[in-house]
Amino acid sequence: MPPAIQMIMDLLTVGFLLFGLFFMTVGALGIVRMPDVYHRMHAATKGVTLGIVGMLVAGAFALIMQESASPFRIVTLIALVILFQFVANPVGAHMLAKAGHLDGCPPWDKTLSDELEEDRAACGTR
Amino acid sequence: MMVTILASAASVVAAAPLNDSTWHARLVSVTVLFAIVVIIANMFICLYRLLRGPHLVDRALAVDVISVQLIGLVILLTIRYGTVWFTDGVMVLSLIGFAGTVAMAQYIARPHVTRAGHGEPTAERGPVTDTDSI
Repeated sequence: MPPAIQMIMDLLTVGFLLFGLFFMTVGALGIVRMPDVYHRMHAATKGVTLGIVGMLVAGAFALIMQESASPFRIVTLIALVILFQFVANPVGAHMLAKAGHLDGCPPWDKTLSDELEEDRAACGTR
Repeated sequence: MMVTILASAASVVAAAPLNDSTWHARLVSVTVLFAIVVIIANMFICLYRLLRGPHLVDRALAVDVISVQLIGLVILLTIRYGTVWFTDGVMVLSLIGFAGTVAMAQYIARPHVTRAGHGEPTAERGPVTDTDSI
């Protein structure tokens, strides 16, 4: 691989890695600092999913540069994992939020609206 | 336990010398080492929520975030070790993490009596009537 292409791939790796690392840290800090279960769900899904996508793309660039396997195989595998993370992380957190609400997790006292609570009160299941 | 953590950290650092052929290869090596340290610190931060979380949902969420950080750590180790190729394990890790989160959510939402004083005026709730809720 010509050295100019190597430099570009290395810079892209470092760029995406720092980007992904920043959002992973934001997600992990958000879990600790948020006042409510539902706020922590926001931090855990949005930040961490974006962070893992950034780190996976950085890994793809680094592996293509190291020529561990054919670029087609690397890109396919990383794309599959990214697609799965986009689907699985939000769905899992949504299920946790619904389960927490059914179990009666108290919302933050400055919460403005709780639509699921209103719907369940209107249906009579509460 | 601290001894094993420090030994594994030392083995990761000493696995390959910093690739100092060109300035950008050095930059990648230093950045990957820094990223490994930061990801491990993130896992300890999530461990605080795992221990502290007043509800089971907090703990399930902390485990979910730890598993995603673990995927990032495996990718970083793939870059660091160069020849070894862990990316097939990344897919398995993400599948198992998702399955674990789904299982915890379905357990939390099972029909049962909630604990008193959890923001509801009555302690009892009765069975969950909407069976297709999740």
